[in-house]
Amino acid sequence: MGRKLRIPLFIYYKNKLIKMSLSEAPVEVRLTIKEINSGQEAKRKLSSLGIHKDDVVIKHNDSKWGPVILENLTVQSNKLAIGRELAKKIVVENER
Amino acid sequence: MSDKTIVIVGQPNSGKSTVFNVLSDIKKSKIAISGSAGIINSSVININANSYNLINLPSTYSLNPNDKSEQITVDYLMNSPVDLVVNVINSSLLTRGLELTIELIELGLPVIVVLNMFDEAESKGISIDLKKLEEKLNVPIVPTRAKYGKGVKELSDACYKHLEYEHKPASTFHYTHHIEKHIQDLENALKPLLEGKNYSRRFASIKLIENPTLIEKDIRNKTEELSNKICKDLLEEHKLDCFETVSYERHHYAMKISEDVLRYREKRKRTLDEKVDDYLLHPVFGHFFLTIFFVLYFFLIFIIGNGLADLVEPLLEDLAILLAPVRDYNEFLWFTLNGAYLGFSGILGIILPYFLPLVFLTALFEETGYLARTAFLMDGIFHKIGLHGKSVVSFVLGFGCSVPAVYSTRMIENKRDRTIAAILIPFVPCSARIAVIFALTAAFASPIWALIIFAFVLLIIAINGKVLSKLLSKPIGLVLEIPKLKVPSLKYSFQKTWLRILDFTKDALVFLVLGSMVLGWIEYFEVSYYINLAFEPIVSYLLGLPNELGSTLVFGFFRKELILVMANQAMGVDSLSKLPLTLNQVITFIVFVTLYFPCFTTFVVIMKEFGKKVVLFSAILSLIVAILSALLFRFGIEMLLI
Ligand SMILES: Nc1nc2c(ncn2[C@@H]2O[C@H](COP(=O)(O)OP(=O)(O)OP(=O)(O)O)[C@@H](O)[C@H]2O)c(=O)[nH]1
Ligand SMILES: [Mg+2]
Repeated sequence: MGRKLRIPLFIYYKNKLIKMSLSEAPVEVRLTIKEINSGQEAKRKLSSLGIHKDDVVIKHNDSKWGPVILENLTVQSNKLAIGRELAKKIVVENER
Repeated sequence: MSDKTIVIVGQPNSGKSTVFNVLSDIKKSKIAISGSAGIINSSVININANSYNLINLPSTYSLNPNDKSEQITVDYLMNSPVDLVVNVINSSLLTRGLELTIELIELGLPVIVVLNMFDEAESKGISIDLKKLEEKLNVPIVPTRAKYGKGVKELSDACYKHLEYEHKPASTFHYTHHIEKHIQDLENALKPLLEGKNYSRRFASIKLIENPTLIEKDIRNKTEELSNKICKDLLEEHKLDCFETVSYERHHYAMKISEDVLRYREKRKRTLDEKVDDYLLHPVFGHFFLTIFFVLYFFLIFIIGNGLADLVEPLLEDLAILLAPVRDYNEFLWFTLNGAYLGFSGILGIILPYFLPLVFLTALFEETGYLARTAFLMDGIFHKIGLHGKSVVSFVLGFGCSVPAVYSTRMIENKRDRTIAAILIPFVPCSARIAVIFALTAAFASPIWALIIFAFVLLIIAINGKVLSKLLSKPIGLVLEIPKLKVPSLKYSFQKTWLRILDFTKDALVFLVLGSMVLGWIEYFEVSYYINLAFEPIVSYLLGLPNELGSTLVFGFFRKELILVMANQAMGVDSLSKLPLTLNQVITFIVFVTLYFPCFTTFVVIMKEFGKKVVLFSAILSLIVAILSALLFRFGIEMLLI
């Protein structure tokens, strides 16, 4: 009991859920943020820019270099750029 | 008379400054402009014959500050007298905005919510049920389109009503049961402790769980036992750290409210600006465009600056002819007047022509939102030199003036990254130095040299950044919002340009005219001989320049643009192209002048922001770098020419 979990809108039907870091996640698919394993400072920054655990996001760029572009679908938001090192510490889940 | 104080609070890019500007226009009032990020703007406004102080606080995403300028806002709200908070929200980003609104309501000050950019929300297909939102929050809601001056009258009426008449208290937001219990416990413990505080007991209790460092130490110490126990409980029973628990709940509260009040009209198509954005952020096209953009940017400044300079030059020459007869009449008076004239013509004929297009184009550029895209594109490269993508913003501002650039480092969260950026900023040629570079290269060489010098300076910055970041510990990394692309408003950019030019000429004029007069006297009394003698080792032996330029360097410490005027003055010629210097000497001189020292104001600002150690380090570093670079060019060019 306690925290109210929002079930992301997509259906889990027959799909496997795969955990991976945001930096290696596929682009243009819905991803759910599962863990943010960064330091306290970065966690705060992400939270104040509207990124929280259980949010559904989409990654927009596929380069192996430079920051990741993220769009948060759970709240209406502008795009966010997240540095590569930090993106490695964010664990997301997607359907396959 | 003690006026009531209204403060504007909002997340970045919500339109706070726009709201501030239109509000303070209601009846002509003075605005205290200080022009740069992190400085608080204030003004007086009149509504129905009552006058109020209006203060625009630095943007903040939340009341858990992440950087220095956010800290200023939070400190202000917690400790200064505030009668009304005007919370500006970007309507198209309602949910995220509401997270801050909830915190502001928890804070316990009277709040009015301004739903700005209502037009943007509409064009995104979002409609907001204002009545319902008002019921949920129990604070007045005013939709505005501040950019077009719409809704401003309603806003000032709402402020007036809220300030002068009774109003019902705002809603209380209840957390989930177990947290709420802890909050209540803390509230009880705080009962005797918050005498005379701005903020509510509830706010203090919530922050004691979420972010205790915000609350004063003596209060924190008295409740330490209880708050430690709460954090332990949360961690053991719910596997959550205190900060995450509370911010997560607030996030969901905001989401619940916006789900209730938002209607999406249709599944929206991708708009044109989003399609353009794909190219701007593209790994290949993005960088390509960026390069073209900056080349064009500086090229335009060069062309326009040249044109303007040609335009005013004849006028100034006429003025000089008028002055000539005085010399026969009284030598001392002539040296004084001629000094003043040279200072004046330095501003009008040399600096302003380049300054004007630079400031205007930078204002336009800031408006478009391309700055954030630059930061994104450069983050990868900047990482390689150990910097934060965000410092790009400071560097770009640095092309205007180092002072706001140093202030703007406040938005970099991490102290290490801030310090590195601040030490590197003085190397970025500011408009004054760009004027020196352009004016001298235009007089002696081709624009190619200006480009070479720019490229060299960038290289210097990269090398210094790399070395500095090796010396200091690791950064947390970039988290940056990329705002929507916007068509810049010409009116706003003109306004900004006008204010900056005014700000600049105000002290530059006095400074330059007086400075040149002093230099005139120095010449009259022949003191410059001794100054030049003191600088001889550097100026003539190391750099191979005429001795007379020594005294210009002293003035260059105060304002770099003085160097140009002083160079004419010191060598006794009336236009740059008549300076008796070779190409080699000019380039060496430019390189040295560009790098040798942050100007006096920058020096003071860095000292204020970062302390003595950093500023001394920065000064010595720049001197060494300047000498080495000038030597490199001096002998490099010699070798190439042979
Ligand atoms: N479409 C639209 N644009 C607006 C509106 N109000 C402001 N803007 C634009 O939004 C941009 C940001 O406005 P500012 O007033 O600088 O925002 P701010 O909150 O002061 O931003 P920072 O101080 O940089 O955090 C500018 O380009 C404005 O012209 C509005 O009601 N509608
Ligand atoms: Mg502003």
